[in-house]
Amino acid sequence: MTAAIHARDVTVRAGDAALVDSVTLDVRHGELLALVGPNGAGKSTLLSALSGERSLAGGLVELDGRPLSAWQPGPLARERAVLTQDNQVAFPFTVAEVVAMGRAPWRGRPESDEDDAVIAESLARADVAHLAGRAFPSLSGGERARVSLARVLAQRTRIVMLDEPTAALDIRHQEEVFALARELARAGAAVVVVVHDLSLAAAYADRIAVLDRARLAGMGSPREVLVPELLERVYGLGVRVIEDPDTGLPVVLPRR
Amino acid sequence: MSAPSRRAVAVGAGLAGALAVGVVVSAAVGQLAIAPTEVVGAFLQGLGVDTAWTPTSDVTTQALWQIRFPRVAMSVLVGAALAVAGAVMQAIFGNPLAEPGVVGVSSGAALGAALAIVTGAALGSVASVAGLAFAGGVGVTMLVYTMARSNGRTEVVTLLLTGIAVNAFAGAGLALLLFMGDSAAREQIVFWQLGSLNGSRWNEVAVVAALTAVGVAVSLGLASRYDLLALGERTAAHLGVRVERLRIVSILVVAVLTGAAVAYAGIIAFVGLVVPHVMRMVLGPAHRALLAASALGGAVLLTYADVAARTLVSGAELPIGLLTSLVGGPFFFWLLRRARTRAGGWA
Repeated sequence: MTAAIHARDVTVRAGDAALVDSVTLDVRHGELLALVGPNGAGKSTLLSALSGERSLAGGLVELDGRPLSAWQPGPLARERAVLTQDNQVAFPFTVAEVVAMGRAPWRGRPESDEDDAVIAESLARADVAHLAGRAFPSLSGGERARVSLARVLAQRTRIVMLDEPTAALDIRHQEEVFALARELARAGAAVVVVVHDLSLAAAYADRIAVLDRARLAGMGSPREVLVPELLERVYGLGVRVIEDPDTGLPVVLPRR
Repeated sequence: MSAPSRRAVAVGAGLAGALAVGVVVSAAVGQLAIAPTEVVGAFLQGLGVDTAWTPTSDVTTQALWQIRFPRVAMSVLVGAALAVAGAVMQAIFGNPLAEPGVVGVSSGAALGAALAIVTGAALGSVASVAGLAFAGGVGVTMLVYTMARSNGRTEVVTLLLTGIAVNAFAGAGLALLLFMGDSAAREQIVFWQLGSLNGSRWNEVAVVAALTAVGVAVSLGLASRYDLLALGERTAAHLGVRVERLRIVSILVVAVLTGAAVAYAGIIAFVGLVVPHVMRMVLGPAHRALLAASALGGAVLLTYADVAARTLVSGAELPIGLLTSLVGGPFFFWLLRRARTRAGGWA
């Protein structure tokens, strides 16, 4: 079966510096992959390379078996959705209007008949339906992040890339966003999420990829990857990995 | 019909009504006083419909069709072109302060016009002034844009700063031409810069009408993409918008609209800033309604401004650019203050 996302020896450079260096990974449909690593390790850059936003200095990215260069912008936008870290909207569009923009790639196609239903469902799933009439710039950081997530959901793509979707969220919304990401994966989407919270990644991701100074330092199930030796080497900090009494999944705590 | 689109229709109808009234008033006032009914009658007669309102005197009909009507048509077109150019500019920079003047279209056009006036005194024709003004506006816009571009991307801050540098350079060129020109040329340059709709002719109206129609139609076709661009260029690209191509086409649209307006009417500032902003406050930021309403609103504003320019001082005509700047300048201050108190200003 073709991988949803196939990256081989992906290298991204800015001047002389390699921001991403020879990263190879596959993400299958139905899988949630968490990208973790210290600040500046290249997580967001790798994500933008996978999404087709940044051009590669070397290597290859394929979505559904076709190299990114072979995708036209329109079909690509119907295949993969991206949540970036900057949740800015230039003019005072309402929340409902912003989420409706996620339907733009489907305009003029039969799927656009479902627009209203999809928008309503996306607002509800991201828990922002009560904000529908508010102007986006008047929202708090966490509310903006959830509205942007609703926009990504409204795009209805089979590949979803989320760059730190939980950075501004309280713990309930963090859990809800990751539960939602896992639901998308269970429904057949390939989901890649950049996240800092290792325990959150462990609880919801099928696999975790650890980036360290532009390179892949480890990849595998949460139990395989979240081990003290690897994490201490990558983060330069003593950590304790314990088992969640309910789920048995690893929980990472700094040694204090 | 949803609430926003009901409001858009209401606003559109209101603006259209105001425009119709303004057009009749503008054609009626002047040294030769003409009754509004005669204006309507003469207009219908020109379309081949004779009514009871048809003017009795041929002088009236001639004055209307040869002098007043082309001038009114020019004010409508120039207002629409400038307002839509401003709205497009604000859309592609995601900043409500962006205005064609900021990017150098106006100063480039002024430089072109001054060049024609000083060097082509022998030619001296209106066409050469308009042609060089247009070329100057379009040329400078493209220059600014190419300079601000690197690696297929345009940074807004770089673009605005480049605009400042080009404006300064064009200002110096203009000063040099003023210095070189004789006193007649100087006077002509100064008054051209102040803006005027005086002496508009039908063949000029036709040129401006064609360019304005193309510019407005293209921008309306791009309206939904401008909405996506408000999410930022990265997200717009992720949603399938070819951002760079959209920017280039839009810059051309702005250059054509502003160039066409400035070429025959001179510098009329702030229409592109005030009108889209007011429309956005009334209608919200969605661009299809915003662009259409801006076209109407610009036409309304300039039609009434032209009436004011001709009637405020008896026996003389105020430059219309002076009037719009008189209103637009304080409005700009107010915008800046409002942005500061709301969002800490623009970075």
